[in-house]
Amino acid sequence: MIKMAILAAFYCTIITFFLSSIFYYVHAKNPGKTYGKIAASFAVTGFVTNTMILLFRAMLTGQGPFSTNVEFLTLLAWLCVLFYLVFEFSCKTQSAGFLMMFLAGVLLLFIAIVMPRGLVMVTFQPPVLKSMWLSSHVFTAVLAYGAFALAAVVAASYLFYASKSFKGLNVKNTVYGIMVFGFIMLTVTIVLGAIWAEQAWGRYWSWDPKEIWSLITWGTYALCFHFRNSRQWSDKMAAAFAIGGFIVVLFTFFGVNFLMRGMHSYA
Amino acid sequence: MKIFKSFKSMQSGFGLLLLINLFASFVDLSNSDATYHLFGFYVLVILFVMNLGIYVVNKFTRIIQLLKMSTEVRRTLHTGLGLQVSLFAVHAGIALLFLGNMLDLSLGYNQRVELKPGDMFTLPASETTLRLEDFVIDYYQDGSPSQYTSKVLVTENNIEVPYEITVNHPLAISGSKMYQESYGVSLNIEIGNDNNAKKYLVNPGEEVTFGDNKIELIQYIPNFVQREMREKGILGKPAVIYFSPATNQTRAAVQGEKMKISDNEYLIFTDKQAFTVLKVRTSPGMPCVEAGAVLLVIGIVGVFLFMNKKSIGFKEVYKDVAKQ
Repeated sequence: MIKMAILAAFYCTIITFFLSSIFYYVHAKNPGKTYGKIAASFAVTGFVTNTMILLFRAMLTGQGPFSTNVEFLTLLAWLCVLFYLVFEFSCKTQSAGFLMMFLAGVLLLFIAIVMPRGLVMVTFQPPVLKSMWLSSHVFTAVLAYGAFALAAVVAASYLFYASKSFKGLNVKNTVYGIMVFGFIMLTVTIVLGAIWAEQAWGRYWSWDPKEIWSLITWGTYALCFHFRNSRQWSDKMAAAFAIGGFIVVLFTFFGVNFLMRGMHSYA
Repeated sequence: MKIFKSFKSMQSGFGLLLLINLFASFVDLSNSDATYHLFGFYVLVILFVMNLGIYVVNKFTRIIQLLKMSTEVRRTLHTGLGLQVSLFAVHAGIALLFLGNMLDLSLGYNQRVELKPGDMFTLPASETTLRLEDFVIDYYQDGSPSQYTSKVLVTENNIEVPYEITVNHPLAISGSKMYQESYGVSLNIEIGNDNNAKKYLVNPGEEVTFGDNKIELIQYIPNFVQREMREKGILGKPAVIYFSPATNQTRAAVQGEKMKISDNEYLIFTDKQAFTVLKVRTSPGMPCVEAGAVLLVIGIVGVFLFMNKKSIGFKEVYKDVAKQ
């Protein structure tokens, strides 16, 4: 019964995310209140059903959604939408809605295509994952990835199709602020992961592919902050860094988890 | 001078960090014996630490100069000082992290120890001994391990104290730390015929030669059960998967069952003997790493906290000082 509920909520979420994305796009091309309101309603509905997936999954497994790739992606999609809704509400712009809802939909669609059984499958945790550090390490990572996703989506929307809609917004400062939050969270993720690795593996840093790519991600954003003080720093440069950084983030998750083997291969 | 100037630059620092990561990506550094012992990698890390070190020393000198100024000037500069101190902390933190890692790998002790119940081990650079009393593996319903527990008796200054080491719960004693890394299983098997059978103690992956024949023991399965039986919720039994080149067959020998391996010979998997694998290490660089991590996190928060606050920067201070 609960498995059926998870699947129903899951497919409902994908559909509403993509519908929301379409309406946000139409709204960007034909500014008016109607399409924007419909798009936002779909986004909120999708957010609610995404919350239900996480709750049902927690009821099924008896633990938080921090152990598998499916749980990580579901949590990431949920957080991306939450961050976006907060952004839309606080910055009073719907211009980034199309890309963000599309991204959230693609994250869930990836689950549906690559690992659909993972949604309803209960896997027992290996001993190393039975740690109080698991939830904090993974949750801060999702917070970081979610913030980097929002920064990239705002940047890409500004660069590629909705620059006029951002007139009232200082893009470089907004993107910078979001990236700062993500960067602090990423630093905390790496430090928490190192503390946990020291307890579990006896080494806080093993030059494992996930660790290497986390450090590359961290370095990419650190480089961006160094450039912020340069004369060349502009809206376009901030946007380029946000998009480039997020491409590295995507590889750190998808590339490392699905193409490489390492000490992080649990899911 | 030009070379030094470009070496200490931010671009060089990021370049070196990228090179270190690329090096680590293409070379297997996860092996503790190989890490940092690769000369090129070692050099890159030292250059990176030097790059950061130059920045840290420069920043420190500037902060000292600032603190020596008159109290009135300094008071107006507290925000700028906060940013400078934060930047100092971030870069010093990163340098300390890499330094600590290098110290651990070059001076630290790191060894995997396999112990069977009753085996003893003396901790490095101490008189403290450790004896494995028992090793317990707990399993989930599907046969996958849920926890490994090494029950050890530590003798220190003639005082015996029992401890348990589990995954995620290492034991720190006499300057060393012991981690529950993994486990292994040795298999007791019997091969022969009704008149003459011989006993062997073999690890999975090894071969047993008897007469002109041999058997390869591929894998130990703690909870072997046919798939259709598992779907009915039936629990399995310990078994060993073996390959017989003579018959060209791969089969499972469930504990206690007699398996025919040739016309007149059989194999029985009689029992198993689990052993623990502990990692024992000392970490001389740990204080550096801990200090580095604290400095890094506090520094990063400080940098972003002070970055956007309107403050008089150092350039203005030097102008003021020059005027004085």
